[in-house]
Amino acid sequence: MPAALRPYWLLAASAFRSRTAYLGAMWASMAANIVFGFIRASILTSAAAASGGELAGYSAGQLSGYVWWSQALLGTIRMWGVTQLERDIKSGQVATQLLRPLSLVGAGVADELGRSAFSLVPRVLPVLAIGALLFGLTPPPGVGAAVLGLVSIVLAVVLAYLINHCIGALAFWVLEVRGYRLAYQSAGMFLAGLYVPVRMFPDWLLAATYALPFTSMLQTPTDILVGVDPLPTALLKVGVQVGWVVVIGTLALVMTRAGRQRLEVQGG
Amino acid sequence: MAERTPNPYLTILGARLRSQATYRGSLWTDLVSSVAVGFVEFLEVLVIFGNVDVLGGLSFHETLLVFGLANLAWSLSQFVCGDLDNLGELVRTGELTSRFARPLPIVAQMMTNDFNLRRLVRIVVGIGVLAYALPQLPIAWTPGNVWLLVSAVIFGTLILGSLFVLAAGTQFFLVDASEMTNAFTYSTNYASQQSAAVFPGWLRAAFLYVLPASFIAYLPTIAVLGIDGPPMAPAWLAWWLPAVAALFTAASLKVWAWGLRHYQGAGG
Repeated sequence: MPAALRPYWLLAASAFRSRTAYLGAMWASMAANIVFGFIRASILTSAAAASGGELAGYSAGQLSGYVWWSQALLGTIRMWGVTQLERDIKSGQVATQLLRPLSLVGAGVADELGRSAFSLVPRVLPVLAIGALLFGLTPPPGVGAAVLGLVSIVLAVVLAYLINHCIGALAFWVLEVRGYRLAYQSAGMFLAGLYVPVRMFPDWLLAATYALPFTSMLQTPTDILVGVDPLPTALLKVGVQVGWVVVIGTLALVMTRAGRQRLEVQGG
Repeated sequence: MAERTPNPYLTILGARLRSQATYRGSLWTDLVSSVAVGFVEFLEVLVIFGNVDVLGGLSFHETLLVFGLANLAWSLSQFVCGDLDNLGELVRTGELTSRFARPLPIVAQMMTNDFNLRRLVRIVVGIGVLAYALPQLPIAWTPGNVWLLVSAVIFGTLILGSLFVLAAGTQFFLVDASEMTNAFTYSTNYASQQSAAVFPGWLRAAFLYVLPASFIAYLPTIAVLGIDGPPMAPAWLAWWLPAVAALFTAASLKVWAWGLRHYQGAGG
């Protein structure tokens, strides 16, 4: 590994280890994901039944798979929550972070990847198992889809972090980020396909949704894993994810640099 | 003439309102985003009915009645009790101890602690949906039906509010599990907006007889529309809503009192 990357690797590894201390909290939020999964799966499977077994291109099993994969991945791909950056800017702690010879964005991504990697097995698998047991779900259609799905999850984790980073970096300019964060999260989760698959959207909304980064954070990996996209489409969508990571990543770097110029920490 | 002591509740509420009005920019983004949260839930209903005509035995307008009643009750309960969400934090940090010194019951303190305009504004979503849906539906405006609809809002608010008290009470025991207790509060809200007929039997029973979600809006709706409910959820049960709400409230307060006795403070 190049020496320059080593600190980031260590950060990711320590984030991974630190999660082992919060197993109780992890089970608790997993229970939350499962209860919501029950309701979402009930709604969508009865909607599928009402429309003759298939809905917006998903079979009943694929719809159930879509619900349980997306519920399972909620703990891994974190679109919500207050970023550490926002808290650090508010408290002035960010000054210390900026003194370190590391990229603030890079360190954040490394931390996020470590934390997500840990949640993958103990949090994702039980949710899927319960969903499969009580509602039945279609497995990924093949090894190719499974591997591509995993790649897509990693990209989604990075993208979700980068957007949160940008929202958090707003704190360099505004006093209270909460309103912006809530607006992003409520609209974002809907457009990411958390409530209903975006394919169910009316055409105009679907077109707008595909022009935005949200589906790259949840709908894309989920669709690949339930096998609703043929492989070429799936590859294209992963390419779109890469594109968004580059665009939003650049934005995050620019915002962090500009914010650094503006930052004024009080007290001493 | 004896001097009148100002009502402590009104004094505290006034102070909360003034403090929120001070940060005008934050107030506006907060208000807009909290309406957006309610609106997104409504969009979900719209999108589903863009794909199917009937869901869980209810048409679009009938579903809107369920949604509107449940959403209104939820917004009102959030407004009154939403801050009980933060109890876990107070228990964990031991900050709750200081609250015992104040001359108000803890529940009342928590209720006024975050008297929040942001949360009050959310009622416009529920009211708007009801104002649209009610004229579209063939409801006989008998005293009985009026009572059923009014009681749905009043006792629905009571049930959901008690749920916050119940969740807060269990946090004295499950300090680290606030996400789990939140899951039950928020998923009961989500379930109360659905037709009970979408749930598989075991889940329908749970949302009727354990967490009485379907009592809040679904049963009153089918009762005023004269629709037969699915097994386990006959329409006449709607008349039992006040009794169910009373029972649930009493049980929640019991758990709260029990938890409070269990509290031993933290730190030192």
